[in-house]
Amino acid sequence: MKRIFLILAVILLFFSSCAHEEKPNSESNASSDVETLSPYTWDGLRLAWEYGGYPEDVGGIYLGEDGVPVIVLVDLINVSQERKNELVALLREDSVAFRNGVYSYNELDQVLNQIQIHPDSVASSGFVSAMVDVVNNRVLVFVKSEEQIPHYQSLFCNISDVEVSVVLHEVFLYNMNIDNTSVRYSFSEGLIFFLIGVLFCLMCVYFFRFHYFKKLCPDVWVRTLKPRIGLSFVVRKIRDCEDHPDDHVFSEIERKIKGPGA
Amino acid sequence: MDSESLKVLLNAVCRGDYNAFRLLYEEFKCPVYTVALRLLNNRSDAEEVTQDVFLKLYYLPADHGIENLRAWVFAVTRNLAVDRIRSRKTVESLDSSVVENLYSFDDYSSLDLREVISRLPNRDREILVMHIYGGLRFREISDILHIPLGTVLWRYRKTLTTLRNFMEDE
Repeated sequence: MKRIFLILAVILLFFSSCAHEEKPNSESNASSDVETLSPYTWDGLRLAWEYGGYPEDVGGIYLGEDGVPVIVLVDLINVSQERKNELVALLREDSVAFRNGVYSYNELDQVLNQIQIHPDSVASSGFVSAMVDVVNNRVLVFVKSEEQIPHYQSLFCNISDVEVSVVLHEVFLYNMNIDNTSVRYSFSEGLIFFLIGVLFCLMCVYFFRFHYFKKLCPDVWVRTLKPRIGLSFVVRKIRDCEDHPDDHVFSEIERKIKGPGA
Repeated sequence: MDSESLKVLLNAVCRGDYNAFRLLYEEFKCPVYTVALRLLNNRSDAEEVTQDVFLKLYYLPADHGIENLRAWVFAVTRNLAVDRIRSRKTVESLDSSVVENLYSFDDYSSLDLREVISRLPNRDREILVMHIYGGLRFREISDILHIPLGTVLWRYRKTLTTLRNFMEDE
């Protein structure tokens, strides 16, 4: 039992240290200067922009269905090739696609903040959450029921000219763009909670057993305190009990083999 | 003595080499006698079984076909002991019921290890003595007793645990 606790404790320490090590890394990436660091993965660049601020001409970045990172640029037709090259140079990927967007990420984010602090959002039970939909260059608002969609649609459309779409919460679950980093964190954290649960259960079982048996037969605890005899010792003791036949046994065999006159 | 040496001696015995027979007797006399004694719990019966085993060995034909002499010796010892127990039971049917009642571990006190072994259930005792005194492998015991290997192992361990408890209580 002690060994099990020890192993579980080591596993817990290992996973908790892993979780603590990963978080500061992502934060340091985010806070670093985007322009001066070596090329990013598309997700790294997204994080860096989210924490360090998006450029004014960028509407966002996402991974396209064909696996190529897509950068949404405001007024793409008028963006110079140099600017495009600058953005491409930030990414580690060989090919990068550009897409036209009407609003910059900062504009979308501003509207998002206004929605989130809107008195109706805070007070109402119908509002679930809101997010920037980079792919469609809009702000998405999630509500609990279909009946509430028109209400929120009219409410948030007046905030600014940015496109705001109100959808059902279930749609959010279905189309959610899964953030791999957060999944990894939540997995390791979940594992820690699971292991803590297992540890707690084992301790409960152990203490229950201890008290239960102690109540039933207190003598058992006195007995277990004595060092147990090993099974090899028992075998040796049994072997020591080997018996020897008397000499007349062989004489009798000899007599039977050679005949009575031998 | 390894199995090759035993095979050489056995072949020599089959050719009538009396010295080889003596060497085999010296090799097996104690384990055979002890196994018989533990199974029968009677010295004179054990001595007779020992004699019978060695006489069978001496009179083996040249084409005996025995591959594992050790396993053969203890299989014969066990069979002769079982035959003797059966014949004894028919004669002393009343006494045997008394003996069965003695197979209880309620009171270990004033018993030595030999007595405790003699009070073990027959099958457990067979496995224990054939492995410890006879030096047979569990697989060989399983073949002799016609019971699964897992059962042999489980019974052996259970018996040792019982004996350990006895020794700890002493």
